[in-house]
Amino acid sequence: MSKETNLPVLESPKEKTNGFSVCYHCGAQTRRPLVKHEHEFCCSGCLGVYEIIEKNNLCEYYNFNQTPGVNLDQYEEKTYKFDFLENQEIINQLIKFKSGSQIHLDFYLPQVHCSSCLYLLENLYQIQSGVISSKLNFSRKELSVVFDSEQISAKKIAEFLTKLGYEPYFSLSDLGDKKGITNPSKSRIYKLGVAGFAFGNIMLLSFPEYFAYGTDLDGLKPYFQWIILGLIVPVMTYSSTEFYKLAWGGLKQRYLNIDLPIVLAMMITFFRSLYEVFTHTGPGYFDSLSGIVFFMLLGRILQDRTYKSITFNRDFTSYFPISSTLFKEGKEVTVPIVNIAVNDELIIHDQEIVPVDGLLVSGKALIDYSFVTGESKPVELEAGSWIYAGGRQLGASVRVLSQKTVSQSYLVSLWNKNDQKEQKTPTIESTYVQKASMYFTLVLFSIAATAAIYWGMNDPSKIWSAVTAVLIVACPCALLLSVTFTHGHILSLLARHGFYLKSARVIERMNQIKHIVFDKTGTLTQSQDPLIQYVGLSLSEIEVDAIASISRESTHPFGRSLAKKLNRIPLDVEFVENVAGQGMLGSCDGMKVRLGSSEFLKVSEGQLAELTSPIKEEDKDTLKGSSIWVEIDGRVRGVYLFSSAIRSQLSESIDQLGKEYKLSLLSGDNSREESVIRGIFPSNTQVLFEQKPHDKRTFIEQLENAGVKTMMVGDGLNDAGALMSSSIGVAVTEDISYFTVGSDAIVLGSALKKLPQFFKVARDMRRIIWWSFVISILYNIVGLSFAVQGELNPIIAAILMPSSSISIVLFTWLTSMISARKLKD
Amino acid sequence: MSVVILLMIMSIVVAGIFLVAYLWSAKSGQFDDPDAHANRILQDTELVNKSK
Repeated sequence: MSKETNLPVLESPKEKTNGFSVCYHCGAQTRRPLVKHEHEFCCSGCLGVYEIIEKNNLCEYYNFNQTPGVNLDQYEEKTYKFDFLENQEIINQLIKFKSGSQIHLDFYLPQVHCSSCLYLLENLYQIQSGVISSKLNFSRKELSVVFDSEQISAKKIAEFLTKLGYEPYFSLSDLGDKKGITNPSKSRIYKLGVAGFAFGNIMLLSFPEYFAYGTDLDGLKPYFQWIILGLIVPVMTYSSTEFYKLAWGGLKQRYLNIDLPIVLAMMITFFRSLYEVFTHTGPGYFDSLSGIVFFMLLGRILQDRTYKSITFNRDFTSYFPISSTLFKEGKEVTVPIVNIAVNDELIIHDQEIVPVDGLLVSGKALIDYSFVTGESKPVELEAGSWIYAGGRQLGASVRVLSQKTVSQSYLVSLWNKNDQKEQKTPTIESTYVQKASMYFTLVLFSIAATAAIYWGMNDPSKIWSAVTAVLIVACPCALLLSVTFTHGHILSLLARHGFYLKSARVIERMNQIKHIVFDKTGTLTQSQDPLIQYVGLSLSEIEVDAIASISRESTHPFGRSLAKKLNRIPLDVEFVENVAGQGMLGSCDGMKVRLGSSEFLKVSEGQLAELTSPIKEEDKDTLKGSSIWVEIDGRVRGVYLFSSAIRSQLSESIDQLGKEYKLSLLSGDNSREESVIRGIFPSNTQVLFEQKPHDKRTFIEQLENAGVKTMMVGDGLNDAGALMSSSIGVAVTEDISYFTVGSDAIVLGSALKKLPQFFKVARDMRRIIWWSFVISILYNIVGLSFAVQGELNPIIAAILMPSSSISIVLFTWLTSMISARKLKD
Repeated sequence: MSVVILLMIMSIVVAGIFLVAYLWSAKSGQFDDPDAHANRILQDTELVNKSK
């Protein structure tokens, strides 16, 4: 697990490649560095941070990692951004703890990435007066800050963190009462400690009982037994409480879970041992008892750790902003979005999310609905158009008149529908385990009954000892162990390869899948990283540099992604102007560059045909997609064509899957990329375009209703409905810390190509569990053969129980490691 | 014979000390965020305090 948990070490940037300088702070390459103290910086933002760090003698920051900083080139001061932190109503809900003027507040900082971050952020008190202390939880990227509210405000801290490059992120889910929630995994760690302590010492103290028969130590046995009795009490009353709770929960819901027979066996072991100790008939089975509690807790903790790395069941609140800016009586005020009423006038700034359905009042909106519809192309809207909640505004601020409240909006109502599926699953234990434990219990009781009848006829004095011995030795704890350890281990192995499952049930369901449905945008293709092709007259190196430098200043997302894709070291831009909705013009290095739509550059029909002649006739469809035309010094040179790139190596995986499963593809986009898709999918694949989220859901529902178990692989948010209706909804994401409503599993985009291997591992897991069942039953048969004779010697129990547990743990560990080799690249 | 009793009590006490140490470390959050602690130990806090 070391590979995953260690902090990533940043790669050292190439030293001064081709005469370019490398920014000392962030590692970006630059042509004209700003120099200070013999260090070079790419922009004033990075230099500013360096100055702050240098002034406070925290230059150690640069020693832990090379160029640890966050690039601040695109940083602009947005003063309105944290205005909501001045709103009393909001701030009161965010604050964790308050005493006098001291305030404890958590900031979620997505930019945290290395040990230098940790160093800088925990030394915040040295840099910013008013901050008393700060502590970073690295795995959660959460900075707990204690500050004096008389000296500094929360807003100031948020702004300061932003200036350092760690912009805090607040979402609607941060609101609400979080005080008093105790961490359940922590109490389990205490319980494990207590059980382990008792287990080890009871083992040790039982030795005289087993081996000192007839020696001098015989006389001491009573003392030993009293100590053992003292040690077992906390195990029974504290460490095993959660098993009681689970068993009771199952009993109340009238279904037999695996915890019930375990608790039963524990109780019988405990009371029979008590009886033996008090009647001086034997030493009891306290060592075995504490041992099973210890191992079972260990298994549960292992399983916990796997689930911890990911939080499922996030709802829309973790995506929506905490507040919105209202325009009221000529003033801008910040209000929590839950307080937005119908007919409020909202101001939506650049990159902000529209929180409610509404009408665009003024301004030209460019809305990125990729979150709602999956369409990667932003939609241009004129005043008077309807805007759905969940869209992200790109560009200048616009005003929106709210038409619904947050809870009535389309997206939220879609979300709420999804919640229903969740409540049907009562436990994380998979169904075949429940079945197995049920049969096990039935067989067990019949063996106990047979033994009782047999002894009742032959030697009634042995009924009691035989029956209890059967129940003790046949405790299904080995079953539980094999399941928890295999699940825990397989799930963490899958997670290490980028496949995160909500529960082990999902793996079980994976074995029943017949049909796999893919979404296109964001699933097969990467919307973040489009494929850009250039068609036209050839460009010189310096011309490409110029195009990159100009497009870098674009306010349009396509312009910016072009600059990113070209990945050139920027030239000095002398002049640049954006023409909203059409394109941009600028000059650098003496070249006049115009970028934009063909209308903007007034490209004639003839030019268009001539320049795009290299494109094959059947691929002309790609021209319907997004494009940026280029003109340098008054001459149209060519066009950059945008299409979404299919993830690498995906076609092989799809080939493999196609052999075993029926495949379908549903796309929210138009059919402009049909030929590309047809190319990678098997010929019998059903491919549908222009599918709204609702259509996708219906498609899945039809399949499911026809009894075809379906796996939907889609973009977590806009396919939420389809993901919910499918047997397994797999959300594809680039970053596991975001969203995922209604999905049963999350797969990292880069790991999607391993899907066929994931299916194989799922199949292996079933086999592993089956074999460990066989092993545990073999142990049980040995134990039972002693027990039915009424001759279960404590020493046999003491050897049998831990050795069965340990061998099962070893077996599942080894076999799942072997199985996981299939996941290697 | 009584020395065995004494040894036994001592062994339990020593084990108890370790149990308390374990519970204390769990309570102080050592198992919450293993990554941060692993890095914090490398940082030279003394140097920082001098400059204060």
